Amino acid sequence: MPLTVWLAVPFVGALLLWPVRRARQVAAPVAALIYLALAVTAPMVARSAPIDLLGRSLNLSAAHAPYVCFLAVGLALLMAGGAFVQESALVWPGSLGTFGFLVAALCAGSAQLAGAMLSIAVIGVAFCLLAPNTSELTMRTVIVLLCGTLMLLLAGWTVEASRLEHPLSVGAIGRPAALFGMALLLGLFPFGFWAPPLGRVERPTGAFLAVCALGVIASLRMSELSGLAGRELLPIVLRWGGLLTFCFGAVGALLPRRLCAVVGYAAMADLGVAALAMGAAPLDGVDLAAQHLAYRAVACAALWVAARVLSKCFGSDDVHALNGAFSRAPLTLTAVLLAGMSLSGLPPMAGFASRNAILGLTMTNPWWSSLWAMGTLGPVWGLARIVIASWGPTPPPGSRREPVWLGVLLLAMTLFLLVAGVLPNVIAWMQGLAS
Amino acid sequence: MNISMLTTTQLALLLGLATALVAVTARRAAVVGLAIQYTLRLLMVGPLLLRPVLYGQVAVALAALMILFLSASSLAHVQRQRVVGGVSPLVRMGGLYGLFSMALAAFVALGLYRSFPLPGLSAQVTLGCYWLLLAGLLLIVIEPTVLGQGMAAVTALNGFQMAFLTLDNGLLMIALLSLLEIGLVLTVAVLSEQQLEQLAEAEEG
Repeated sequence: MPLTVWLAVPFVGALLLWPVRRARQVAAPVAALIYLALAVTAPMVARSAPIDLLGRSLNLSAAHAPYVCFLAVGLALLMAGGAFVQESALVWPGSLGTFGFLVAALCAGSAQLAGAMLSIAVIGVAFCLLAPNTSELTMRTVIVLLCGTLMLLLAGWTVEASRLEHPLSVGAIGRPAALFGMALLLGLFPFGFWAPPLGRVERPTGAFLAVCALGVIASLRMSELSGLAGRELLPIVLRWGGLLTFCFGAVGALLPRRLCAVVGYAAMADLGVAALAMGAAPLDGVDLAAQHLAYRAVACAALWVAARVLSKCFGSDDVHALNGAFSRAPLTLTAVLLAGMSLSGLPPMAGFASRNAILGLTMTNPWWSSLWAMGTLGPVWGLARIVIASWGPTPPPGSRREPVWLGVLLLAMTLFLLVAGVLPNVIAWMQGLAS
Repeated sequence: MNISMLTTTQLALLLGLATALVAVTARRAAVVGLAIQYTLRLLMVGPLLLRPVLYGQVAVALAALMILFLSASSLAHVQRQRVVGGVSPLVRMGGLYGLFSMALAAFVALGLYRSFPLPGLSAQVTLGCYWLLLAGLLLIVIEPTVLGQGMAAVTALNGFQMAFLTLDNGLLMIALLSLLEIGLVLTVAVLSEQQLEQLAEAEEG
């Protein structure tokens, strides 16, 4: 399949879904099918020739194709979940348009073009986040993320300019722009203040796009900007930023009682792990980090959809409202258990396999391993107490049963994380398929 | 007209007026401030652009101003009704506080543009970029309303584009940044309307 056609599919899909955006039962499955089609065809597109867009090249490399598949599958699940739980009518076309710009940013031949594409994708994220009582939060998120993407755009320009006429601009503009932009976009502590509140918003697609998808794309663009950010400075910033993010997320995950809020903090702790990998080794570390962030994206998608399903069936995803919920939503809560294990880094899930590889790459002192284990306890406690509470004898009064089809989809998604944990070479196999 | 005809003092006065209007009101008068910013930006970048591209940029600027003016009018209407109905209007920290922040940004920008000139840019573009970026970012922090934050964000984006389009004025970049600009303005308008609806619902409830 030609790359031009494949890149146009999300935008055409968004235009087609616009007239039927209020018909949730039609728009949600159609959007999910479009995402599935994009995921299936991504490895084929990686074999097609690069295209030229007004003098700039676009190409999907075989190494990046699996990550597009992961994101597209995660979004397909969110769309399918949206057929059952309430989402804004703008989510179906908005998420497709945003995904189109995110993929274009991944395919862009230059970091400058990628920065511009990511900036427009941020606007799409804002439309996916629209919900009652979220206008201030959405505006804050848009401003922070735009600062990050525009910094990347500037850093990308300095990469190009350093090869042409402005070599001086690298140190003066490029270095702070690359460092600040990456820290903001990835959500590293203390720049990640925008990320945890998104977990609590009743818009899982918007949260997924902002917290997971943008992070995966930014980490994949990292290698070309790492030279710009300084060979000595970048590893230090990433190591300490990653460690603080890990600790902040782990402690934060101990406190909330709602599943969606715990997921927000657990995702932040997991991001800290990925940042540690990026800081440890310039090439292997970035690959490992991208892999870890891709597994995190799948787990977050499953958990946020599960949280919305539980809210719909039991009135809330609060630990007190879910007492005895397992008998009415066994599939969803099993999916929560498996995805939560992966996000927390427990064996035998995919999150554990990638964390283990990162631990081997980064840690040299024994006390790091202890800190690592303690950092896992926060998300484990936050997620486990919800599952344990659901094993109570009496289902909540007035509750309803889970939709079986959605429970099966959630379980299938999390079983994939189990398979990827047992067979950790899944991504390498997919990359081989695409090349 | 070319921007090089203006002295640094004249440019600083124009930038001061453009940002002060946003800082003091964050309502309809702020759109006039944004219009001055757009005019300055187009005067700086205009000589580097092809004529059709420049017309396109003017059209984007007019569309953005129109959208923001409509949003500001809607907000002003609601504020008037709230005052008439005896309900306190949306709380702002006050025009004086905004002016103070703007003066701080101007002071820093005037120092920075001499000490740290941006490579490959003229002194006027550097001053305009620093001034608008700093003023926009400061106002984002102190503005409580979504519309005010959005106008401050547009101010900062104007500063960024003033410098960036001077450095790279390829067609694709201009098109993407114009799309971003319109997208941001639409987001601000939608979120501002949503904030007003929230307030109305809260009062009824």
